[in-house]
Amino acid sequence: MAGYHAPPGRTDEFLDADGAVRTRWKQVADAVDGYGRDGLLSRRDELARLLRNEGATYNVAVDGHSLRRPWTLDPVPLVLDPFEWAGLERAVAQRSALLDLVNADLYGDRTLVARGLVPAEVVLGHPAFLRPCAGINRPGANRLFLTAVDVVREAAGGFRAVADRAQAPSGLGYSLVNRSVLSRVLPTLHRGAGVERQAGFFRAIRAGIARAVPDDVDEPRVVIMTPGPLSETYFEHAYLASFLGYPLVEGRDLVVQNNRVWLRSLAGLDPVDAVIRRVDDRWCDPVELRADSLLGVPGLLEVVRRGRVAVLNPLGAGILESPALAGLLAGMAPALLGEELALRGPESWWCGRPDGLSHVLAGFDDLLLLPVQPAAGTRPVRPLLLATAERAALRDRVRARPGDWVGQEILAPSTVPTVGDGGGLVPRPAVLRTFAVADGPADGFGARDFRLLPGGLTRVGAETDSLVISSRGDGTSKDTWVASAEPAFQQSPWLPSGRAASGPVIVPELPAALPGRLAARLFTMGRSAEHAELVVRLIRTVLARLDQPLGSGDDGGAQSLQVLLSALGSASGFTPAPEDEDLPVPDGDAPGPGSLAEGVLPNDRTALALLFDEGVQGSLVSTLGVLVEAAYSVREQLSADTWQLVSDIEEELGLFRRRPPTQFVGAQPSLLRLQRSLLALSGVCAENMERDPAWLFLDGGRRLERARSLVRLLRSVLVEKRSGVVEDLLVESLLTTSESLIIFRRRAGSILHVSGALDLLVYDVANPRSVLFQLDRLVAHLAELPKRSSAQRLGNEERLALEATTLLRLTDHDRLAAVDPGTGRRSELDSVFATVDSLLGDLLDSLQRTYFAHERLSVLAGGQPEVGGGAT
Amino acid sequence: MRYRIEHRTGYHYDAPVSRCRNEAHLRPRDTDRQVCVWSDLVVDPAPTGWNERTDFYGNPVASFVVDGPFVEMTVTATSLVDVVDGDPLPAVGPGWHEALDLLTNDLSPEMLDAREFCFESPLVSTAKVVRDYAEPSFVEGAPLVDAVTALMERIHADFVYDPGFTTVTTPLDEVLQHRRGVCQDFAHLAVGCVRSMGLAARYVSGYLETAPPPGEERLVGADASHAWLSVFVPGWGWLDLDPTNDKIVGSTYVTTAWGRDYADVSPLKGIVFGGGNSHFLDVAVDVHRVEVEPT
Repeated sequence: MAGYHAPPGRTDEFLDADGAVRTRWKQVADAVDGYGRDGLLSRRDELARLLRNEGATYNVAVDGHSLRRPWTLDPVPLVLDPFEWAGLERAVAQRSALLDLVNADLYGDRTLVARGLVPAEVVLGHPAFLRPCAGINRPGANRLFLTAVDVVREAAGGFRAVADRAQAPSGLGYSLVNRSVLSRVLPTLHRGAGVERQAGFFRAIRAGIARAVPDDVDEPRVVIMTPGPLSETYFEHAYLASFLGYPLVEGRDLVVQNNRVWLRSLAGLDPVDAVIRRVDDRWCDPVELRADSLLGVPGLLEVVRRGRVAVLNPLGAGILESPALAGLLAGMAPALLGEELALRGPESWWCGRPDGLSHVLAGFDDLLLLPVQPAAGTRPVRPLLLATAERAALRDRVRARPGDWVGQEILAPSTVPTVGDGGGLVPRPAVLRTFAVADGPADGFGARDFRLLPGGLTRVGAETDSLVISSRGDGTSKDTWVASAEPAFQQSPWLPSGRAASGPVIVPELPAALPGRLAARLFTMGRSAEHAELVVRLIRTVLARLDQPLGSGDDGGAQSLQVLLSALGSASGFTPAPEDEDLPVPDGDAPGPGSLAEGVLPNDRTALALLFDEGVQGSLVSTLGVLVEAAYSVREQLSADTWQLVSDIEEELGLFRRRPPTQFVGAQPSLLRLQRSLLALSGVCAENMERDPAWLFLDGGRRLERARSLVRLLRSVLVEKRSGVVEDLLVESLLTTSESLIIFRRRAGSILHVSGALDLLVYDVANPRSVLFQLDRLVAHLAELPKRSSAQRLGNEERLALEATTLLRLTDHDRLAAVDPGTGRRSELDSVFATVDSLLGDLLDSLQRTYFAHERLSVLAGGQPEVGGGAT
Repeated sequence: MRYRIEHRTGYHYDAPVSRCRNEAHLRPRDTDRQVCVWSDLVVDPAPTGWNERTDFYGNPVASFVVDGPFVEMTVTATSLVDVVDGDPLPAVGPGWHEALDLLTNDLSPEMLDAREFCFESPLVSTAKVVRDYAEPSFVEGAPLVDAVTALMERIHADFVYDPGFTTVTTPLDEVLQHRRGVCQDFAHLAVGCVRSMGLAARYVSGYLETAPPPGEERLVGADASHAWLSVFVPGWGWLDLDPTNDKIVGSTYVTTAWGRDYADVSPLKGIVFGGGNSHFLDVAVDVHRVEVEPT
């Protein structure tokens, strides 16, 4: 680390004031020197690869669209001294205990306001103060469960708190994944440095949930509530859900009935005792909070009021994140805790007070201006960096609504060595997000103990002088190492081990119920994977034809190519089932608006559109897009191996999107890679997934799609009897596409007759690509699904699947292959396959209604005073 | 005076509703000048869940669940309320500057309670346009009661009563721009004006007994729910004023609930599952004077 230079005028984590390496960094410094520039870069790449395999992303909104950005991690951790950490730990725990008491006070008697410690406007004038949450006097209600405090080390060397997160703190999952991948990339260093483990903290989380639920609950049923796959930190919602073993749900997966919260699972309603929310409080209950929220659970607050569910953190805690309140914490600590605040924030001035306003206006250019109500996308502003006119405009805004602004002293965070573009180390400002969980009984009203995650999530700015450092920005993240004073043990989040053996033994809950929404997405994932596979196979068959000489004098090749291409069009009517409508939208029975109609010419452009045009329904690119989105939204159900394949597929998709191929030839290698990934995906699902309802839906989607596409493909290609050569080529192509050519040849020799092909592709239940093979599996899957109504009779879906099977079995391959002499068509095949196709379409609709449907919500209009009464 | 009030709200949906969850602010609260002697809330179809509580402001709230399928739902609130005139207005009372000072600096429970009504709320802005409209009424040194009475008179004179022009969510700057609206717009505007001066005002929902045109019979159901404002006068209490009719509120007014604005006290609100794309609503209110036998 010889080339590393700390910037003057601030603290550097690595070098002391004399430019010497700090003791706690020695081990890391030696290792980093050993790696060299190239070693650091290759380790950074390896981290990026592992993070990609984990699906670690951070979603940012760009022009109203949500963009998945890869989560990045720097190979050099932030190293903290254990004794110094112990001090910071106590200080963050104290600050958390204070925030907890402030929340309880604000939603209780508001003595802080009555004592003049908090101006009324800071609370009562703030939209995050949620009146329906006030006055719930049950012990334990309105107590914080999990807090996050962002700290920086200032120039003088001490820590300061720059932000408090008290409603749904983000970052824990990222912190976990950072540790997980870094310890794999730097195993020797990580083991040798004796880094404090994280597992104990997650045990405390599980224990804390058990204490927060109603007393009569022995085995709490816990869910994690997410706003959905488009939310910024969705990755970690899924990551935490699978790490902690709780189902990940959206508001619409939950319902309030009989004064309880229930999870709509496949089997019906399962009770829920605790909701860990990642949804901001105002969006959690459209009845009592924001009526326009579709993210919440109508009636949730009423159940909270009755003490029948614990919402963590409690609804209303968002008020604690107001910068105006943060500036007052130092004054509140003696009153509520009887102690001075150990971890102070930057000096700050709320402009709602005349003296605060005049101070801020006087020192305007040297301060940071923060809005009291941070809205999406608002950031603290540094007036000095604004153009003169903008600066004057900001002053006017502050003067016009002083209560909306806080002025804050600017701190220069300490710098930490970070790998730069060339592999050299550069100093970057660091903010450490610490996490604290309440760690004691919640039944009283006094201060509670909080326990910290050792280390936390370190984020560094993109530039040495970055002032605002957040995950949205261009910086990166770091793992945070607290050297352990004791040897580290391998610990699991469930079983106490080593020195943490105090407290109850906690075992994982019973297998989590599968929410209907998740089932729908798994089903979509299965369908889209299968459809993508079919399109790739078909197009590769077509490409193989294009490569072959078309024969002399006989245009069988060209003609069969044309038939195949239009078949490709008819098989591409894939539409994912809609999620949020009362009624299903019909599946693509007719070619979609952009898909190919019959009889198009086999020119490169239309065929390419079938592959690469995002706007063409059922095109390869749009289907892969559906597949990847569905996979992200069931992230926590997928194993690491599965995820790796999904990210490979996403990478190919990214290439197609960035540079859509203009010729088939160039696309070949990519298609081959894709086909391999898709095959591997299907293999990994078949081999590695537990046979639980999640798998039934994933595999069921695949079976249904495979049966239906094959029926459509056969119908489109074979209904019309064609000349011998053409038909031979077509049959060969169909068999190739279905991976059945070799077995066909083994059985039937080289004569490619339609009847034999139909036997193999439709009737042979030993052929895993035949229609009946799919339908038999589907019937078996459906029989295993939990029944919603009386078990006496067949479910509607089973009935439809059996009807399709029976219809096929009532005829046979010879009758299907028979050509009507008058018309030259295979009319039996046409009518039977048309009926089977439509039965499978009905089956899809019926599944949608039974298992996936979520009813639309709307707002009940109030009986508004429309007429104001005339004069009396 | 005793009133019998019937407030009936009917919902008609174009597709079956499978379930709805509602909150009703329909039971009149007790106040300094009224007592709700009896009140009954009937929902048809019969609710499958029912809770009652008082909200942040002490108003009674009923929350209920109705399971469907249904395409029509009726909520009928019937109440008997005894009302008297308020205390006579203070002859002079505190100046509005003096009130502002007390509200800003005094930490007595009474002032702190009133502080709740000094700030912006979801439907009431205190933007510059609102304050600009308010300022002429707040003459230097004027008693608070005179200032708010003057404000009420100006709103009554400047604004046209125009049902159908606004909705419950029409912002104040639009009301100000077009100078028209209905009772809740005028109440919101007056509340915003008072708050823009740093003073405390709350939104009151309730009913007003209406007199039939001379020589005609009272029509049942022809009344409506009504809204006005209440201003905190330090040392005296809350003064109710009706800018729609330019009147100090007296014994012909029945209060249902108060809050920061309409959103805190809307008679019915809730979430419907299903119900199709549209619905319509009919509201019938009947305020009827009941003779009380002298005891």
